Amino acid sequence: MMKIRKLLKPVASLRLTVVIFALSIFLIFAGTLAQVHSGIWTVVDQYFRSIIVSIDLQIFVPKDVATIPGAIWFPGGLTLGVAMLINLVAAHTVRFKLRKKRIGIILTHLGVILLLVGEFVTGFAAKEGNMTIREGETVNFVEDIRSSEISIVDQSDPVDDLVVVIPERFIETGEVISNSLFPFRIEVTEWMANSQMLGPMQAPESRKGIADSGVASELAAMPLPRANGVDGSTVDAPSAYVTFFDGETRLGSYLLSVYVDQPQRVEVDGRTYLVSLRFARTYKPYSLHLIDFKHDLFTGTQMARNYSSDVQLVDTTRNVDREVLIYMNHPLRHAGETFYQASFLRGDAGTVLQVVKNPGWLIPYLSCSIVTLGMLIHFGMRLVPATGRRS
Amino acid sequence: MKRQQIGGIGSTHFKLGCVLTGCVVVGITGCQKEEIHSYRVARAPDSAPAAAAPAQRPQQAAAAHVIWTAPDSWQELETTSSMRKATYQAGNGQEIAVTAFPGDVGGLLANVNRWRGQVGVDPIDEAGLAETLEQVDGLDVIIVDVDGESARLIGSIINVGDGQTWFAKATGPSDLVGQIKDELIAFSSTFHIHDHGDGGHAEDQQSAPAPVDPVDDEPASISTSGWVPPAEWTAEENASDILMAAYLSQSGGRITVTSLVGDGGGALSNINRWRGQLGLNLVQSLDEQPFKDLGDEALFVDLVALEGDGRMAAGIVPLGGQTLFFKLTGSVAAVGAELERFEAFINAEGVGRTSAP
Repeated sequence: MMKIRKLLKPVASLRLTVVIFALSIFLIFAGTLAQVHSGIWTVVDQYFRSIIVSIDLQIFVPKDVATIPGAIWFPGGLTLGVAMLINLVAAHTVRFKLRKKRIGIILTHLGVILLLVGEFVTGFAAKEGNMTIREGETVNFVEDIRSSEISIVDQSDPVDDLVVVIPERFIETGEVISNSLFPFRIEVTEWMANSQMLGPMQAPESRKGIADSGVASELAAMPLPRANGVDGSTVDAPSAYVTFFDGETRLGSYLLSVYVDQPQRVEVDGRTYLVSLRFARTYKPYSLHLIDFKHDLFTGTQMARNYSSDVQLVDTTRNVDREVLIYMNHPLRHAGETFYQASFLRGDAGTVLQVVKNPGWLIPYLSCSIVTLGMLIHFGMRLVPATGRRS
Repeated sequence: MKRQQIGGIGSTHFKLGCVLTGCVVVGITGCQKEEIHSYRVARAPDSAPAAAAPAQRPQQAAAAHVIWTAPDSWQELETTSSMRKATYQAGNGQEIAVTAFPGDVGGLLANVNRWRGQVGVDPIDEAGLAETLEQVDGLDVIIVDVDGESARLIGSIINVGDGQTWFAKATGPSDLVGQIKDELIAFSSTFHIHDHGDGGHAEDQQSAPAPVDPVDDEPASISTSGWVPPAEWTAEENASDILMAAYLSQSGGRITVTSLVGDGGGALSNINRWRGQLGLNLVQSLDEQPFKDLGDEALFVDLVALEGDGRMAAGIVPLGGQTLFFKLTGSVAAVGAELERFEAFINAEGVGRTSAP
């Protein structure tokens, strides 16, 4: 035990605690300001779930006041969170003394430790996505509208599709993508994290003819600023200009975009591959079939009274086949996931369900309760003798 | 004091603590990144592409479900391009292509001239445009008929209010194309946004009924004779007959007024069309578009181009079964200088607020 305490002493410093708190306060301040120009989830990933973050100095001063170039490197939320957790656990291990009058303090810190653990669980294990289903359709995958992927589908098998997925992090770097899973090389000419599609007559000359192959070659994509945290619920719509090569042979330049709802054909050695840029998908062992979507209005107005989705849930792995009505504040819970009525397609043509899986969703409630209990005990134990002395 | 000696900043212990913490952080995050991977999935014949369009995308991606009905004598052919929404063959063998593009695809004049060029006919200007167009009563459908030396082209430009412009086009020998003109006009009139009353979706689009809203009461025509523009504006010479009125301001702005039956496709689709023209992202609902409420369901928007020096202020004013569209376009400064007068003009008695005397 003494050995463990000796080992932990370096990270149990109270000065370290103060430094971590000070750094955390600054990080939260900078992260809040950054949301003026970046989306909330971009900031969460860049600032609070990263090891290190590059903070642009411009976020501290509005652009119309002054232009401030440059950035500073700063420890990210993950670094500070882990440091805080280690520091707290180490401090308790080194200085742990189980005494009656310390129960409140111990409980309070236990609650804080649990809160930090809860954020790690949420950060690493929580999944959130959308299921978009048109009336009459059956869907068995969830889309993550915060990240995209290139999918390469080989349909040579008569029953199943072989799907190769290239995550966004490989596309956004603009580097050459090659892998033994597909027989060609992809060069990303231009990556647009958010974009707008223009028709043949709308595109400026500088954007015409970048793509020479594929079904979207007549269209043009224009980069747009990323959706930020102050403009409402706009979603980034990524696009990319890519060129395919088979060895030294150029197969063509394509415009891939989440706007283009039809896969594009790339042929190599007589085999056709269907390529598309889409929001990242996760396939599920269950499916939802949308029987009916209802968008009720208050009589005589255009004000929404209710949105509801009548769906058939089929999960052969759990022997489930039942009809469920999902509506506001009445989500469907299945297989550890919760399905909320989130949005709908224009013209009421279909529904959008938000699918949330967070194994740590109870931890914040539990930790806050423990902290509250600890503080009540701690201050109560001090309050009672104090009032006794006064009387 | 002992604690401070142990953990003081700069001490060996403190540095060691930082290194240990860093190792833990790197260890935790090192295994999180997703790699290129593959999986097998049962083939979904037609649902996957359609389902890949989440509603949160800008408008052209989450396009409303537009359906139509083809004449019985037409046969649908296989369509290989995503730009083509459908291809038909009429009873006489003539091919008809249906396409759709986001926004207004450059505007009416540009599209008409593109089609004229395809059959070897010289382009026209705005003034000549009205003579070549036919409008389908009660609907936002414009028919273009161009008979060139090489071929004849009959096309329809359809706005159903889904933020896209739909085109149905037949190009070929003059007699063949002419034979199906009435069918093409009737076909173009069936395009509409799917709703529950249609009782179907993409699979049954060919059999879906095609309710064309009857226009029982022809709206009273609005006269511009009583309109008094500000002294700083002059009436535009050679303005298109499509426009109710057109003025040029001293600041360099252009003011136009058009009228459409009913709601003219709705405020949202028109605003999105304008946003598209200015390179702005489309909006899902009016909640995302700042506007000024002029009362009586009339509204006023001010849009600045994403790139370049362009700006558009517009008023959408429902009046007597029609909708008046007031537009002020020009450079940012020119529109800004005219903004106050423009809004006052829209709100003037006898112009946008009440029917003309």
